[in-house]
Amino acid sequence: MLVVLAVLMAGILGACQHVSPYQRARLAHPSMTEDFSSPGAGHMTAIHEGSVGGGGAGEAGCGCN
Amino acid sequence: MTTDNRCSGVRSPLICAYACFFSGLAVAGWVEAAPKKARPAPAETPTTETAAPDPRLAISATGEMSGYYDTDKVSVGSPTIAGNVADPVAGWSVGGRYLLDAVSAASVDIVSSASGRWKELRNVGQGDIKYKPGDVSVDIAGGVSHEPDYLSLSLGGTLTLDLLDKNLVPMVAYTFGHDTAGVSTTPFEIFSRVLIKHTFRVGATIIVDPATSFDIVSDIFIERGNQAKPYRFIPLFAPGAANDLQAGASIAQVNMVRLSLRPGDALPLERNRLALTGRLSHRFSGSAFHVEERLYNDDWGLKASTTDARWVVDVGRSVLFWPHVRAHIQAPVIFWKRVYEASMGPSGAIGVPAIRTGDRELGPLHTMTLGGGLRFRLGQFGGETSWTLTVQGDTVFTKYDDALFITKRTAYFGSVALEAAID
Repeated sequence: MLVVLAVLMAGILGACQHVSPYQRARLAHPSMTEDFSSPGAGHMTAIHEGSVGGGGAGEAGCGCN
Repeated sequence: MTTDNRCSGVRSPLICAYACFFSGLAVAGWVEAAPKKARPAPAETPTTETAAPDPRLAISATGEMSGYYDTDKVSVGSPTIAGNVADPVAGWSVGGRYLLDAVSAASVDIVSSASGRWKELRNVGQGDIKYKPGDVSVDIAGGVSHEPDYLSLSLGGTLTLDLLDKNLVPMVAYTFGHDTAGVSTTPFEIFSRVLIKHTFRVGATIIVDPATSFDIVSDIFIERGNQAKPYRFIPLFAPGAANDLQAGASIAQVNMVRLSLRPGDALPLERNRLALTGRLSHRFSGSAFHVEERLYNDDWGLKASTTDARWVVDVGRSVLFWPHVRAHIQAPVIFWKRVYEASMGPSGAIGVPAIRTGDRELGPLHTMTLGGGLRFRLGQFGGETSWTLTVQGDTVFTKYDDALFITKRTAYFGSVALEAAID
């Protein structure tokens, strides 16, 4: 998996252009940088989908289902 | 919201890495990207060595109320408070969050076990400390989640590195988790099951061009311990007796043919999981598009694909609006069965399948989520505190392809959050 990741990153980097700090106004727009999900929505997703997991903070096995 | 406060959120640390970098670029207020509306953008103002650093701390606090209800008669109310203190000049920040879940359920799983409505409170506390003195950022985060029958502890760290003028920000992270599951009326000393979780994450944020960024992350989850739910009991059938039971068969239909024996949930004691996530974000002249694809596989045989997209549109200078769509499809674990049959020994003894589950989220399913949100920059009302209001909601349609009792569920989720930021 790490090899796949490295190859992917190398390919992507090869297709990228160098962006200087003064060129980053659009990347710095709040629509690009802010978080648009909520903790509650994340927990709901974890309950609804069998493949979600490994969050950085503890989540108990809420017995919602 | 200050840029530093963005870094205290639950979003990917990769995004946070470059979001923190932009703290020197994006000051409070939307940064206009459209040329016709362009103000003198701070991002385009060269910094000088003589600029005096702002000695004040950036402080923010957020209150959020979210609610959930689904057609399986589960409702959850969750108030959340969060706070963050940061010194952008020194490069450190400290954040914390407290969440309370009030759950009330009379789902088909509970009713089919002949239990009444079930209520429970879950308390969650999280904290993190971040230090970024230069090109290296270190983030230590921990959390505690407590219910009467479940205790979850976690502690982890994330290391990020700015490379190539911050065009490439790789990261590595590790989180240790220790969960203890019990039953609500019994102390952990008498009955409990322990689950140990190791999570490894490696990835990078890549700046593709002046309007596009790409995140790629690989997660490896190693879980050891008993994940079976103590309250879940599996309908068991005599061989051939349940041939006519179709997906979605009612409680009455199941009870007519099930054996009286009710074995509990039993799952493998080890689980190794792997996920690969790619996330592309592009800023257009008046909107931004975010799309994420997550591919998942584990050694229980569960394979899944999740696609999530948001189109964030500028509505004036102080309002963002976004539609949200999410699609998830998964194949079942290898031991999934709609009907578990007992084996009958020659002496009449009943044999029970060693591995068995009634957890529909381990079966084949697909979900579609449709929703959206609004974020209002309310302004400062004459003081130093700027206020932001966020309202969002989602409707989640789930189709269970091979489960007893129900074949579909519709869930509604909504939240309102108010944030105050003092710069």
